[in-house]
Amino acid sequence: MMPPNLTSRGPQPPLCPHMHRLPARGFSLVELLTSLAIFSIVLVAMGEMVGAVLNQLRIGEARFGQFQESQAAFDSITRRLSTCELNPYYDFQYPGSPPDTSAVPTRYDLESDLHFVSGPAASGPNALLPTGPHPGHAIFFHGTFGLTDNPAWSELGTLLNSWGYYVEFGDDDGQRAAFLNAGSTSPRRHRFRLKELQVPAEALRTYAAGLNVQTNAAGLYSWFRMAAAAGQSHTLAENVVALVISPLSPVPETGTTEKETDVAPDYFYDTRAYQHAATSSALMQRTRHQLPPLLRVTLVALDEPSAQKLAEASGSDMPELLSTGAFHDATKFDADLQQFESALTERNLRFRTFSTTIRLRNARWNDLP
Amino acid sequence: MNSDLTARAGLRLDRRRCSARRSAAFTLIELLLVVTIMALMLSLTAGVSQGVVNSMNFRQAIQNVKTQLDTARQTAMTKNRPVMVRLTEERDDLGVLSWRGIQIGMVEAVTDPSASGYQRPVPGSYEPEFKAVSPPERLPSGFVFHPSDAYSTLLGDHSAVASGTVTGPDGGSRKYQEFVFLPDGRCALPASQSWTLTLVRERDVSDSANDLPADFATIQIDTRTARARIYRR
Repeated sequence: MMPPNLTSRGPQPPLCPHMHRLPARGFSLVELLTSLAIFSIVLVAMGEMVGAVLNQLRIGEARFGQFQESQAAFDSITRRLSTCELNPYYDFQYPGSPPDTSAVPTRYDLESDLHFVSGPAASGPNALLPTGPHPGHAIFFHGTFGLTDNPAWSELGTLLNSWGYYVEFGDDDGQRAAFLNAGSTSPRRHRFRLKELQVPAEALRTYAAGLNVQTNAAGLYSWFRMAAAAGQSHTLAENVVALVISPLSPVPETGTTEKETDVAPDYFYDTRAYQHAATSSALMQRTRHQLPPLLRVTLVALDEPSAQKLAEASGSDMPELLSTGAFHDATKFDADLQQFESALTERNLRFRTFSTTIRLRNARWNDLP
Repeated sequence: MNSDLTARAGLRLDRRRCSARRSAAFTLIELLLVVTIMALMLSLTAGVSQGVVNSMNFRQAIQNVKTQLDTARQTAMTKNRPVMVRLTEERDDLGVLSWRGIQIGMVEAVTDPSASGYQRPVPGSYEPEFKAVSPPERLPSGFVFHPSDAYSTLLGDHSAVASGTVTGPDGGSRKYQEFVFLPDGRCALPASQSWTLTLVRERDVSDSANDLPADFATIQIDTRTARARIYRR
C-alpha cells in the first residue's frame, strides 16, 4: 500500500459520471475517529450507568444491614425491658426524716431495694446523664440476667444486674482494638450509637449506694452514672439517633379526662422520685416503687451512607438533629416524632423508625393510694 | 506493476472528485493508529474493572464472614442454644493450608450409650460432638484471615477460644479455633480484651508475616453484645 498523498493534484478529470452509484470505498480516518469517539461516549455512559447501579446496590445493602442491626437491637431492648425487676414489698412507714424506727409506724407503703428510672438523658430538670453528648432519653433498671465476668459464677443464671439504654454521640476509639487506632490505620467514626449499660453482678453498685437513705439525684443515680463512666456500656447498634421511652398506663376508654401518659407527662419516671421531690406529690406517690405497666419504646435509626454524610458535614461535633424542645411533653409524642422525621427528610437522611409498646411482666400496677 | 499503481491512483483521484472526500480505504498507519487507541482504551477499562472486581471480591469476603457471625448470633437467640463458630484451616486450589474457613454449628451430645459416637463423660476429656448447621463457608480465593494474634485475636492462643484439629476431606488434619455465641445475645469471650479477625489478601501475608498490609479489613466482635463491626482502611 502507499500512503495517501493529500496534496497531490492530478490531472483534472471531467465531472464524475458515476455519481448515482456510490462506489464501494473504505472509511476515512476522520470517520473512523468519529465512530470511535461515539463508541467511547457510549462506553463512558455505560460505565457511569454501571457505577450508578453499583452505588445504589451498595446503598441498598448498607440500608438493609443497618436496619437489620437496628432491628436486632430493638428486639434485644424489648426482651430485656419486659423482664425488668423491682421486687416491691409493703413495709411500715415511720414518722420523721430520717425515719425514726422506735416510733409508732404511721402506715404501710411500698418499699423496694431496686430502682427503675427513665426520662430525658441530658436535658430538663431531671437529666439522668447530665454530662456528655446524650440526645433523647435514657432508661436504667435491674434484671436477673445472670451476667458475670467471674468464671466461678458463670452458671448462676439469675444473678442480678443493673442495665440501661441510652444514645451517645462520639467516636469509638475506646471500643476498638488498639492496632486500629495506631496511626491512621482506620478512620475515626463519629456516630450516634445506642449504648447498652451492662453491669456484671460482681460490679453491681445498687446496694452499696444505699438507695433507701439517699435524698438527692446525685446519690440516687450514682449506681448507673458511675457504671456508665466506668466504661460498662457497650454499643448495641450504630446510627441510632433517637431513643424515646414513654411510660404508659392504660386508662378507661370513656368518661375520663385522664391520659395514658399521665404517669410520666414529661417522660420522666422515677420509682424513687419521692425521695428527692422530683415530680408532683401525687405523681410521686403514684409511681412510688412501681414499675409502669407499659412502656412505649421508639428508636430512630439512620442508614450508614446517611450517617457518613452527616459525619462528613459535622465532623466531631454532635449534629443537632433533635430540636431543643422535642420529646419533653409526652402528650405531644406523635407531633414531635413527625417533626423529627420531617427534619431528617429535609436533611436528606434516610431513616427508619422502630416503635413498640412493651408490657412489663413484673409490673403490679395499681392506682390505690 | 508501476503502471498498475498509477492507474489505481488515478482511479482514487477520480473518486475523490466525486464525493469531495477522500475515498481511499485506510492505510496501515491509520489502521494501526485506530487499533492502538482502541487497545489503549481497552487496557484502561480493563485496569479499572480489575480494580473494581478485586475490591468487590474483598467486600464479598468481608460480608460473608459478617453474615456468618450474624447468623450465629441470631441462631443462638432464636433456638435458645449456644452456637459455635469455627474458624478452620482450608486448602486453596494449590493445596496451601491457610486460615480461610468459617463454619457455624451446635453441640450435639450423644446420650444413648449404644449409639455410635457415644463418649463416656469422663471429666477433662469429654468433648461433645460439633454438629454443623450449615456447610463451611470459604473465603473467596486469594483471601485469608491474618494468622497473627496481634490482628486476629480469635486465631490466637487464648483460654476462651477452644482449639483442636479436625480431619479434612483429603484426610489431612486441619486446625480449628472455636468460640461460642450465647442465647442471651452475648459471646462467651471475656470482655477484658478485644476480639478481632483480620481479612487480608494471601500474597500480602506471605510478604510480611507480622505486619498489617495496606489493604485489610478487621471484624471486631463486641463480646457483650455479640455484634460484629467492620473496620476497613
